[in-house]
Amino acid sequence: MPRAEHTIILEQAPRPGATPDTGQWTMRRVYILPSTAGFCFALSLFIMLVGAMNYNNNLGMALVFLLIGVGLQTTLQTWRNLRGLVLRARAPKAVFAGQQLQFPVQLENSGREWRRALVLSLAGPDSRREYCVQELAGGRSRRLFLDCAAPRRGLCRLQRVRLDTLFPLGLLRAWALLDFEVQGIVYPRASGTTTLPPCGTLTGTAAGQQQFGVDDFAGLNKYRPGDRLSTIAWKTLARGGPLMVKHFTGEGARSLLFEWQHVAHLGNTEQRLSQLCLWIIQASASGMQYGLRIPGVNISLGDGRVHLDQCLTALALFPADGSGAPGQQQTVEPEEYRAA
Amino acid sequence: MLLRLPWAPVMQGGWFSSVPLAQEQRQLLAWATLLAIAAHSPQAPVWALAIAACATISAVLLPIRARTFWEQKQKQVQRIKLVVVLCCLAGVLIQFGDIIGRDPGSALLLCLSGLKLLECRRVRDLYVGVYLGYMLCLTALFFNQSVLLLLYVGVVVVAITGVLWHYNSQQPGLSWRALLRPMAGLFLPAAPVMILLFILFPRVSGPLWGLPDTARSGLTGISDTMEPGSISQLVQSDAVAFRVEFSGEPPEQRHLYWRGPVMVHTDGRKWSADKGRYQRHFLPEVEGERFDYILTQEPSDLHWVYALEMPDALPDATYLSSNHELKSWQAIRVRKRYQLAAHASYRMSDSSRQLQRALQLPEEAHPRARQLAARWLQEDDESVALVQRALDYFRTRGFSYTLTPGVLRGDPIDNLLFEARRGFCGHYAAAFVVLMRAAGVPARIVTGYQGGELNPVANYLTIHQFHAHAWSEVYLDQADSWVRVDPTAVVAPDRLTVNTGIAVPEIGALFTPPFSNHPWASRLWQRARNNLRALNYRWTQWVLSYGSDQQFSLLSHFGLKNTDTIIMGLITLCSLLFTMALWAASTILHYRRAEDPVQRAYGIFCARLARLGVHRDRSEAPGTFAHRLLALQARGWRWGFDGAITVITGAYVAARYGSQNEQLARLEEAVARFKPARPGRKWPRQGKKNRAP
Repeated sequence: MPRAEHTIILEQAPRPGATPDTGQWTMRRVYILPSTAGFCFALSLFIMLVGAMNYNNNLGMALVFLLIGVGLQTTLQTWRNLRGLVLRARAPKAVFAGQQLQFPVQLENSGREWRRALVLSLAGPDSRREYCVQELAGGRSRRLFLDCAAPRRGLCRLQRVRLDTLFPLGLLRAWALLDFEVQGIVYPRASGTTTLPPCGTLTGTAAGQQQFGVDDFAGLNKYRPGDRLSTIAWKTLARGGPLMVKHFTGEGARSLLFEWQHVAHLGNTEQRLSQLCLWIIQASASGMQYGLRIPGVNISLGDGRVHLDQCLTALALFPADGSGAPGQQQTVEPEEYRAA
Repeated sequence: MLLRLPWAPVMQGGWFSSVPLAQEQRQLLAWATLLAIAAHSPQAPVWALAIAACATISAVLLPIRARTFWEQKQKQVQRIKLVVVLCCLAGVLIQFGDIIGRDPGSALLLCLSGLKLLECRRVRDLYVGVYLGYMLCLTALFFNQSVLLLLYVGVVVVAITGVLWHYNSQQPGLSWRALLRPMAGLFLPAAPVMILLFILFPRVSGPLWGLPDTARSGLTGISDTMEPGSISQLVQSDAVAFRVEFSGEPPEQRHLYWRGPVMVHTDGRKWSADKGRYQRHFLPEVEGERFDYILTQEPSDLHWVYALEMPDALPDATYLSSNHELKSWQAIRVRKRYQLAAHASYRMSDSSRQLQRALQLPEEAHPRARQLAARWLQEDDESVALVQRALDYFRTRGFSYTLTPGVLRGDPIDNLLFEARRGFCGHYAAAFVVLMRAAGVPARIVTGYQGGELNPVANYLTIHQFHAHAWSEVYLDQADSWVRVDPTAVVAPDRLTVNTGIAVPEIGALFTPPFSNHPWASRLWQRARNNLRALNYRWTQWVLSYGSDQQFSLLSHFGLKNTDTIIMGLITLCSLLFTMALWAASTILHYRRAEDPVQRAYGIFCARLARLGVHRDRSEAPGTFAHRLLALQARGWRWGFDGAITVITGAYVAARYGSQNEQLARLEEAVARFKPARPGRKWPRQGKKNRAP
């Protein structure tokens, strides 16, 4: 079940009252093993110990024992460097296919000790990029944006994230594998023809409704809550007049309802969705009212940021087989993703 | 849990491979290595020190541009490196004639760890450099185990570890002082582990493989042969032969005869001890007062244990030879402790075959001595009377005791007895034995040490090489025993009661203490020296010579008897795991949650005001408090920073109830700068300002 926010706490059961108030939290284990350098350290200590024993050199042995003690202590410190870290991932801003999703991940140091040299990376085989946090004082937090390639439309889950540290001496590597259950929405790639479909006005379908256009100025109306800011008559207001709303109308006042039949001639579902996506962006950019009606989705006319997101999300989540069997599609309300 | 361990990612990642190294990390490593190289300066060959130090310093100083030029010319540099390394190898071979072993090995290590810094480019090189540095520290301890060097090596090890910390913490900048705290956090918890392992780690007595010859070169001490003058060379050294601690009162100085090699065979000039391992099955019968003591012998590479005459039991791994010498089965190559007891009176009987050997004299040697002995024999053939005759001869014929008797021409014994009449202990012992043998009394030379220097602070005796001595033993029929006769005591009676230095002026001159002209300074110096030596003795006793014997005796206090190596190893491992568990538990139990940084910053602000007597009431909201403060300011209070209160309160409220991250920095900065002046200093202004509004 994807979440808008997911918190992972390393090796530290939160006390009552310290539980994160929002979202879900999970505890994760920290693993620790010697690094290559650590194995070499152990080997050289062994050689030194054999040498000191051969010469019955008690001080030499004491030196080796001291270094063994340091090695053991660094085990603890490496583990401690990760323990009690709180990592919080959130759903990223939606992007179009082919772009990079940027998952915000916040590292929070819940302890008083400093944390140093933390390295976050995506565990996937192709991602080599490392996100370093040099130091994190007690109680502080740092936010990173993890880039995650989104080649296809739909829901993109944050890959498994690795948190690594070699601090303090690089002899041991402690790591935790973090499976954040947050997803980003990837809209279809916008492509196709820029000529809008001849879907025309909605006069026929919605007779009697007040027609809003963008072309011709038709007069001023009294402001009612819910009117768009862009239509407020600022000049009137500046003159000291009442809050009025400009009213446009005209033949070109077009409201577009994009329908599946407009793109039916295109080869496959993805191309159709891309075409719809492009039109929606165009319509939104020119301030028109638009709606979307594709199998299983019926979004009535509207405009604005939220409306745009709703339409694009519907495109993003459209089933790949193109069947659009109702009931399968809108199990997840798009608004839920934007809760963050 | 183990099954869930994801193994694969462990070896992934380029940390230990080809990541290039920053200049400052290279410099830090070079400085630390230079410190390690300096630990070798007392003993390493000068050329090796020079190569290592030059390479290290140039690694620090070489400008980056020059280094990149070097790195571009990879091939030529490879060749140069090869030549330099071969030169080092050749140097070691010429100097020591070997590559393996303590001295050549450490010289080679010195050169190579210096040169390694010149090609220190990647992270892997950094780690290799660090490990080489650790090994340099270890080999320095092979040569010298003093407390001073240990402290120095401790500093070096901390510095080298600091290099690793500096790299791994990704700290920018280069600061030794910033390393102090983290290093204390690493090394202080490591100290108990070190002590635990030191006490419990199973010890192997003796070397794991043959010690190379170089490890014991330069040892001075009594040897298994004696020529005229060999002991007088020895007494010019003040090296420590062994140390003795009596559990009760020590015997008188003149009874302290530490028995070493016994010389039976002679070729007329050179005396030699028996080479074989002839073991005697019966100890001498002992009686009289018993003296318990612990003898800590320095490595001598010989078998003799210099026990006080006469021991009543054999310590482990020793035997009594046919000549009544206490010998170790293995040559003493490391410092050893022996628990012994001595008795003042004893009876050493012997087989007739041994007595026959003790009459051996080369044919036609010492003709005049033989004549003298024959004359005495005609007068009285009682062995006691013959011994007395000989001692009277030494006492009355103007013999003198000297370190430099000059060259004894011709037959050395005849020359000493009838012409030169000057000699050292070895000469008199040999002459006496020759006279006795010529008179038919079995006699032999005993070499060893006599006396000892008492340290009043720690109450132990130090026996130096200059305490080396030679005396003789004759076999008396009446007593059926070997009896010690010391002709030197007759010639120079002082020799036994005071130090050799006073009895022989030449030696005294060798070891004159400083400040001998100022009595008080001399006394002070003596006391300081005694204290230092006592400390050194304890150090040697408890740390340097801690071995399996002490380990067993220590563990037997805890009821662990007859533990073998495997059980010891298990105990060590368990205690280590226990320590680790203790650490982990303390981390878990004392996990300190961070305070809210916003609250903390505001708390500092309030505390600074409280110091001036302005307290924030617990029920007072930040805004209300700020109003009160501003009212105070209006009445003439000077905070030192105008507007600070508004800024701090505004930032606090914004950070606490709004987005924290942006405002927190502002708040902290403002609080850090907010240092309200104490009323005492800036108060006078208040009076004037007070009336202004």
